Amino acid sequence: MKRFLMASAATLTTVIAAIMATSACWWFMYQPEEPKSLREE
Amino acid sequence: MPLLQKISNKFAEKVSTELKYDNDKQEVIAYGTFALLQMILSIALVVVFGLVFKVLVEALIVSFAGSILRKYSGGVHSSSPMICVVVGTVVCVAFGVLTKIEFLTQFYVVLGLTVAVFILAYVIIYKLAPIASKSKPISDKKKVRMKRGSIVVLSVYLLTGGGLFTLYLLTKNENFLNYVFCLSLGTLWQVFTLTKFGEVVLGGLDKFLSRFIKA
Repeated sequence: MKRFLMASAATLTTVIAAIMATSACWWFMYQPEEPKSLREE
Repeated sequence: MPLLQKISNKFAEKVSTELKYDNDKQEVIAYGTFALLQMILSIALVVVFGLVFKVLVEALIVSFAGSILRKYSGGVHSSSPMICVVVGTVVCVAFGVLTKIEFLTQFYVVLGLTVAVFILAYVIIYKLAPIASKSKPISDKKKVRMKRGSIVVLSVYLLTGGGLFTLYLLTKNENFLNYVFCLSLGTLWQVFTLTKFGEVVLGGLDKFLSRFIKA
């Protein structure tokens, strides 16, 4: 059960990170450092 | 390191250890977790203060209008997540409160404001969007996509505004005028953060607030 919840959380946050990577900014005004693996180079 | 970021990093570390993910994946999970937490906190504060000041719907319209456009156009950033959330909440609720001023929500005032805001918004977005940040650089190819996306979102807002005006004229329900007013203000705020003037003003505000807000 714990593993399932962790995997679900990992999937959700990865999807959100991917959405952030395709945008210029996210929500309000603070932008954390974008991971290199998500950068479009 | 900001508190939200510490929480996100700790959570990502726990998940990655459990699922045996590498560092790259852990970073991505931390990034996504942070985004989710910040969004939840931002919306929650707008809801709470929107309810306190009895402008919940109006404040949420300002918040979503600005944020959705921001996804494509970027803009100036604050130095910490808490300053970001505080400024964003204050702006959204304050703009919502403006709808209580009867003069400002007269039909011709709202119409004039909406026309002015959208003309300004199209010009500024065409010239300046998207604005990248050091933490999130944007490639040239992506800039073209983001600019196009910004113009599409703005056009959707314009159509939505037109629809709301039409609904007002048909029903004489003043709430529709309030919603257009908020849509215009949310757009105006977001466009303001794209300008040099916005950068100077918000930079100064950020510097002032960072003396009191450390997280």
